[in-house]
Amino acid sequence: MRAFDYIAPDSTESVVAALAAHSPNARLLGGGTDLIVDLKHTSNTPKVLVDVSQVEDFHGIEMTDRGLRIGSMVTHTEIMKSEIIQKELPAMVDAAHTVGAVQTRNLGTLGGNLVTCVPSMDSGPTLLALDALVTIAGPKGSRQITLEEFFVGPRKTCLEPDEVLVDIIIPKENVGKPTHFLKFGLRKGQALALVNAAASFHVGDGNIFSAPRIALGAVAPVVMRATKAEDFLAGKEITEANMAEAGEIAVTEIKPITDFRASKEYRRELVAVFTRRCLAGAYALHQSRA
Amino acid sequence: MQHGIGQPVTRTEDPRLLTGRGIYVDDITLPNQAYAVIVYSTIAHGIIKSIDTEAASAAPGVLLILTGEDAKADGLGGFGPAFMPEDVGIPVPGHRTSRPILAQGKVRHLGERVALVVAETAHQAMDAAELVEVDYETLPAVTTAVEAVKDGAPQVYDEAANNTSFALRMGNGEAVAAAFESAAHTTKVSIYNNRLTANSMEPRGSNATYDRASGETTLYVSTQNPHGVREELSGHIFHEPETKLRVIARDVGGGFGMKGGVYPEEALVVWATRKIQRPVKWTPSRTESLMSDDQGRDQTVEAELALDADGKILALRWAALNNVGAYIVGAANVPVMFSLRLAQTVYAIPEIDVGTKAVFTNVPPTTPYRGAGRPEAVYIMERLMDTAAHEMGIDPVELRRKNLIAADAMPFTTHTHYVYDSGEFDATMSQCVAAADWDGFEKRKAESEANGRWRGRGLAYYIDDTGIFNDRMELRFDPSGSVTIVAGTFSHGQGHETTYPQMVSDWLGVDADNIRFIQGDTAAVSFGRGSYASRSMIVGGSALRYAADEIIEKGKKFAAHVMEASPADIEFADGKFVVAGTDKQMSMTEVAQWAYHPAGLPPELGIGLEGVGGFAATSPSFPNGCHISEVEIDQETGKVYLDRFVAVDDMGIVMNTLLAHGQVQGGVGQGVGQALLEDLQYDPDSGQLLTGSFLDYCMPRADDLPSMEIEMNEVPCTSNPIGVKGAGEGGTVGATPAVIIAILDALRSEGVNDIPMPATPERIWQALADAKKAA
Repeated sequence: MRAFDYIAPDSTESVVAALAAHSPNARLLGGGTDLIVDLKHTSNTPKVLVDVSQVEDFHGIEMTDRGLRIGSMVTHTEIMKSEIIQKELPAMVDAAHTVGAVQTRNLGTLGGNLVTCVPSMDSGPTLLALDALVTIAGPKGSRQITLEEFFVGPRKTCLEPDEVLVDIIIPKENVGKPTHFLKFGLRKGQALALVNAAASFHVGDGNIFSAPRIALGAVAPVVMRATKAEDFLAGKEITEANMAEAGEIAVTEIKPITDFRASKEYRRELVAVFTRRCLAGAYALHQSRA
Repeated sequence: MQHGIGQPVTRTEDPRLLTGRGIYVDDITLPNQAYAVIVYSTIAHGIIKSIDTEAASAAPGVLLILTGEDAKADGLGGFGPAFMPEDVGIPVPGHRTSRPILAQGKVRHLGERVALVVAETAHQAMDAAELVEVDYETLPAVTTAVEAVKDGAPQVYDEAANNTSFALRMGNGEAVAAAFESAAHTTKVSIYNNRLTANSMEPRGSNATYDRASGETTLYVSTQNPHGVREELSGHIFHEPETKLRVIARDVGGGFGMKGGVYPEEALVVWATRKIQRPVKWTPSRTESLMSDDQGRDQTVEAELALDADGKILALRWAALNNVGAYIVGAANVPVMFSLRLAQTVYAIPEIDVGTKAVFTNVPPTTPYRGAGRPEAVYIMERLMDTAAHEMGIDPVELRRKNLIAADAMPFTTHTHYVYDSGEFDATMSQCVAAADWDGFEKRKAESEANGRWRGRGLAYYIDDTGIFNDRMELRFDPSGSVTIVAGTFSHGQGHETTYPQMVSDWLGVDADNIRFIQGDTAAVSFGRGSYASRSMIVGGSALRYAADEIIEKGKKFAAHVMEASPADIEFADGKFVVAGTDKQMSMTEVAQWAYHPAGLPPELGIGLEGVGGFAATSPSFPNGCHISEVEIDQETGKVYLDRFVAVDDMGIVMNTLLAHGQVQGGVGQGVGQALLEDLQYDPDSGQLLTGSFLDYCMPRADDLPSMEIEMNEVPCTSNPIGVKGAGEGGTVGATPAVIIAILDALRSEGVNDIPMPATPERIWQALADAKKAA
């Protein structure tokens, strides 16, 4: 590891100030599961490391007036152990469980997973299906945007070099919304997703899809919503046929690639299957609660 | 006896290894340590026009930069094959290669070593390595054997036409052709046995230090064969007496054949430490391991079986291409030749005609990987048997039963002059079929189908030839009466530190706590050949038995002297020397202590109690067994779930059941990896490695494997004094066909008759789609 300066601010303001002072030569250190590896094995070392683990605003999982607030420094293990998430949003537990191995989950953070912004990230689809918002702090203060706006491209978010992700908020009306997440990789754990999928909807009067959301990962440059499939479902009766149809529509919205890992044809097939299975999973959750 | 032979004694080494007290090669950092980084070839095939090291030499902390030209100037040699066909009596000389420690003039595969950079820190070496400018003239590359033998393919060596080093053929071509003419049924399969790499938990690594006072160099290395490393470096690279070099391997975290040979880096750190007179350490990243470790398998085969109307095999015929990569090094010809020699596996086959070619390509060398040729042979045979059974409408168990070599036919001489000393193939298969609840399959299948999954089962019968060469084991008592085992074999995960003491404790009646175990240091172990080919228990265990016998014989003489009896009247049992017919007795420990008495020993007995045993596996042993797997396959995604795995193995007499089961489990895990996940992929045009990290080279995890049911059918081996057969590789040999056959069984109703390895979800999905189209 090469020499660098290390600072550990204890407030959002001082993180922003540190970034303002040192960007673009500074990198933020959260769980470090990507960064520490880079520091050890690549020659591209930042001059200043800003450790955000001491900032209280970045921690905690709690219900607020606006919804469920999850600090960006919350680890995947904390998500898995959170009683409120286990109860209200078990899909988030499933998604957290698919991240890396035990050691990665103990250190790796939700914020870190989102800011890295790889198309195959495991945390993205569920949060996107829950209309999650993110709080960003910068020199001009705080702003809140949707997670969808946050993702810009592969390994690219809308964060400016002097900005930092503070927390993630699941809007109040979606806390408890029946949601299901599935990952498809070559093996059960520590595998790259060929397809990640999440689906979420409320069960409206007359057993209809209300506010349906479908989010897909690893099949486009960023984690994406399948809005045409969502539009198709909205207001329709919850049936297996409609779930399957939504899956077929979702296939038309994705932009998969062919590489040595999988062909686009196969990724399309997987999207149809996993969209349907996620919808069915969310419905099963609803029924199990009723 | 708790520590006796056959007991499931837990591993002595585990508390040390599991609590981080093991010493692996990267844990060794010496005073004034310098660090080495390799500059690898970034292309698969090309001419080195120039290497500019000026900027790198001026980089901070750089101590030394070496290239192939320097190696030439210093007169250093290269690595050749341990043997070529002509060296073992086959009258077809092949093209023999020499792998340089640093490329000279030409690079022949991605990851070939081009330069060595040594600096004060690893990061300085890494930074400087990036400044080494190598100017290549890129040549077209060829990565597969099938392409390489074609006319007009890029030539790896001008001297080897069609990239073929040698061709081998065994059996009787004419008789086989006649048998095929008259056969009631013939079966054909085309197989590609995928290219794999070991990915041992501890990567390779080395650290060398030159002692100015003695002129001796010590090399710490992660290897399976410390004496072999010394012999090869001294003999072929540095051309000097072996006394100049001491090789030490402490804890080694796995090898699987991959660490059986010697690598350029081991020569490079020795060379470098002598130049700068400071210790030089090299530790690779995982990506470097994937790129530069010797690899395994990679055989392409067209195979046929001829049968009569009743399902009796008439003849076996196959023709293969073995992709040996860019160099034939070390034991590279073992997998090539052993797949031929084991071709008929466990079946009574009247005639065989099998052949292969060793084909050069622009990928890294292929050397033994757990099984080394036996997995290839068994995979071919079991796929043929399974396919024939289905084509002929004969139950696959029944077809095998008709053709298995009978227990009363032992010893059985094969067409390739192997002598199977023992084996109860039919009984072992029956035991496995019963253990696997063969009859309950249809019910499980129906349950799976109700859940949207197909279920299939696969049975494979394997045989392995294990144990090779001779070895030497020593037992040394010290004046306190405790005993040290000095092993010529080398445990790199097998648990010899547990099993050898367990055996000595049983034989000599010494408490296991008073037995010390030494291996892996050429200064402490006078000679040894390391561990590979499942040889340690056969060769090392047998040699240990002879060493113990020598101790007993010498001990009788000491005991006779002390107890004033004739040596002929001394009996040894249960750890005690007894004067026959009296109550006079001495324990082994007491006798050992007496042997170190400062005065009063008869001169003809010498001083001390030591025994040396040697054993040569002039004939290998033949462990064998039956594996049955059951898989479920997701009908929509093609994903395979391995649901059940049952193994019944005949490893001869089992010394430690816990460790033997562990070998089966680990071996099965690796065999499953080959069947379902693992695949080294190179871009066919550029020869670039596509699977260059664990993100894409995917090995099974514990949760990808079911809880295995493992049983033994212990049929003693008759070709060694302790009745053992090799335990290390059978799991890998049997599991791969058992899993693939199960997948084919599950998919047969959908019209799928073949699936390539690894059987990834997409390949299964594609096979289903193709079958649907063809229907």
